Amino acid sequence: MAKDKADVLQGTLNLLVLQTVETMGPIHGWGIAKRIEQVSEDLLELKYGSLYPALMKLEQNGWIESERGTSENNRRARFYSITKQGKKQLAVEAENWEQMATFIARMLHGAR
Amino acid sequence: MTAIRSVVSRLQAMFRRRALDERIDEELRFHVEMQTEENISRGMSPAEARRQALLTSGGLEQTKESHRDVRGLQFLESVLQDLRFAVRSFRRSPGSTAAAVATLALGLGVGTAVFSVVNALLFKPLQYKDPDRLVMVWSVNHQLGVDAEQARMLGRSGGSMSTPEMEDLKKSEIFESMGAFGGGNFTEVHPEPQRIGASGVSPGFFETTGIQPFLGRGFLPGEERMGGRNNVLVITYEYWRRRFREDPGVIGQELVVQGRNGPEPA
Repeated sequence: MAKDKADVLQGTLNLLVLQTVETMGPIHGWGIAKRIEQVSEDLLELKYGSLYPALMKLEQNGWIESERGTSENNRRARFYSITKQGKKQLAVEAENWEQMATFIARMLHGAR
Repeated sequence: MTAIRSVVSRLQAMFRRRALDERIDEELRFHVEMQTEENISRGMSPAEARRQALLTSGGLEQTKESHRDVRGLQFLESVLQDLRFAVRSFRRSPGSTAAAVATLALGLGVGTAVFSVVNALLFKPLQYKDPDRLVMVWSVNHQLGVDAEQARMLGRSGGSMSTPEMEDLKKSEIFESMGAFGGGNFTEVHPEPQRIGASGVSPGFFETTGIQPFLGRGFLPGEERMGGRNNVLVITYEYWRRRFREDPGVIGQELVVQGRNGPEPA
């Protein structure tokens, strides 16, 4: 923790989780956390305290669904997978993010 | 659709709080176990591995709290909190609670009382037939200095009409029907003497007010005549219940009374 890690940007956690569940699912909560950290090459600090609430909220919204199962090391765990609605939502949020990223890039480098 | 489902699921969440708490516990337990194993595989001692895992899980209770914000309908939950707080405050200061309750009770009581009077007098229509066409007629007597205003003020004791006056008015056909009433009290003699509020009324009284007797009949024309053979009474529903215990065979029974408006004691 010596090095400053970026916090997960407000509103992007859903996108990160949905994308992870889409590509890796069914996957348990810890797996999602590890995957996000891994892909970010530890640049990102994921707060677990916010990951599980986010998972619940996504499930409440009907974007992901969960099922009990057994983990790779034989522990009981809950596995999440994306729903049809979730896929739509992911597309929307990804699109929003692309637009935002493009805009930020333009601001930083000047319009070409 | 999604909005409805979200509300439904939030409502369910509120009532299934315990189940959801268990669910978070489950997730966090699993998380800590996995993290601990990973830490051990990195060479930590089991105790240290678990301690670190717990640290990174970000505080169990805190997580649960933030869950509650997500799931529950925050509004309802904070209302419940406020209610509990109010009850506690009331208990802490029973004196001011009593004062507040008494003030409210008194205010409500007075308000209700005033309203029921106003309601009966001003808002509710009279409980008679065609209340908007029903009028009370007084007579003036200039010799005695009773003008219209005074007649109304005096009511039955000063502004009332004589029988001939009323008969004249009847003949004029100004009114569709007319009924007269006069005050008085009976003393029922038998079986026990008791005083009864009563009125002498003319046969047109029931027709004019549209009151139908529950049993039997009203007065017939001619029954008001002095010295008439029919000494008949119409009793109130309340009196029927009290004195005759709602006996349907009350019609034709004799009631021994004194002080009636007729000339002879029955």
